[in-house]
Amino acid sequence: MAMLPHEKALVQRLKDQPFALLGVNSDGEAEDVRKMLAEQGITWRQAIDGGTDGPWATRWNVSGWPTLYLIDAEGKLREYWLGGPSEAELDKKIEALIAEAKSK
Amino acid sequence: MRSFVTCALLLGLAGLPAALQGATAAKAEVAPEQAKLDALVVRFKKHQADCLAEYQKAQTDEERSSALTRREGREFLPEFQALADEFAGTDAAGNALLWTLRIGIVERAAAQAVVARLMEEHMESELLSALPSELAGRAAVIGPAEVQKVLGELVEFSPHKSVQGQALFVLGSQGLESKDPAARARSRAALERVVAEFGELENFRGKLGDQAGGMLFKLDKLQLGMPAPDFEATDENGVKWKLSDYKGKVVLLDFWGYW
Repeated sequence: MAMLPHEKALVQRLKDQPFALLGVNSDGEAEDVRKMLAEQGITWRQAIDGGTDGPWATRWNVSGWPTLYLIDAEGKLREYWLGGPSEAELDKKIEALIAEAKSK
Repeated sequence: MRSFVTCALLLGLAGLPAALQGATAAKAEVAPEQAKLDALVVRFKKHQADCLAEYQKAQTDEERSSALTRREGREFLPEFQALADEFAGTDAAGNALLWTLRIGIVERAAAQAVVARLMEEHMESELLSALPSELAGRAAVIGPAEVQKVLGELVEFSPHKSVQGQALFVLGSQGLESKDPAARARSRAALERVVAEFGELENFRGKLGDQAGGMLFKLDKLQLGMPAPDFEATDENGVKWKLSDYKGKVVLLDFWGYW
């Protein structure tokens, strides 16, 4: 949640780039999450996982929130953060992978 | 029979089916050592709740840290120890020993002595199913090698599946990140056994099989450089989507909550 302002900025800044932010949300049922997303102005795609013991959080062995994975354009896992990286580090890694995708 | 019915009525159980009444009445005859332990646990928990309330009301950092320290309730340790000595060998004594581990013994020799007593006097009891997670939490005090040894003995010698499964789960989750390939292999084998034989057992985080499966999945499918496992999800409007829909794009996958 602390990352929301930066995530909004990222989505806006990279909207014409080969980049997507996808959320796996553990707040609760779809109905409640939909309201929260509208209130917070969150536009990017979400998976509704129900709770912290939801099927995806369990399957992906998520033990703390936020947990982030950065996946390259070929679908390979490239970075993993538990607890969220600094804004500068996140931007740098994303931009490097976008440049890599464009060079291919 | 008549006196039993009267007793059940007095307890306010008149509406329950007869079989249930019997079970409740049998349970109500608590052994004296168990009653003593229950009372001690109630006092201990009240102490913790009081300290938490103080913590929440505290104005300064000193007050807060003092409330947190007192919340540990270390002054209760001698009482739990005395109860374990007075009724040695009973389940109440075994549970009192578990409480001393939980509250936190800070000397290695003393902690090892408690564990040794639990192993010698209570190996036949199912109360040892609570021991593995206490060992995991106290590994630094007890010593990692000793913890490994005790967990292995629980798996081998306990007659109870619940004890074996909890011990295997802790054994498996501890060695996963080890630099030693043999330790990692043992860890993997333990987790695979948890999934196959003990999946329905639970700890405070839920089913052991789900957690062990998650750890194995991470080990096998979620290492950097591996292709991201595809997954199908449903968004807040009920629309289904897949991770692979985004191939060709750089994806930041964010497990998050607004709490």
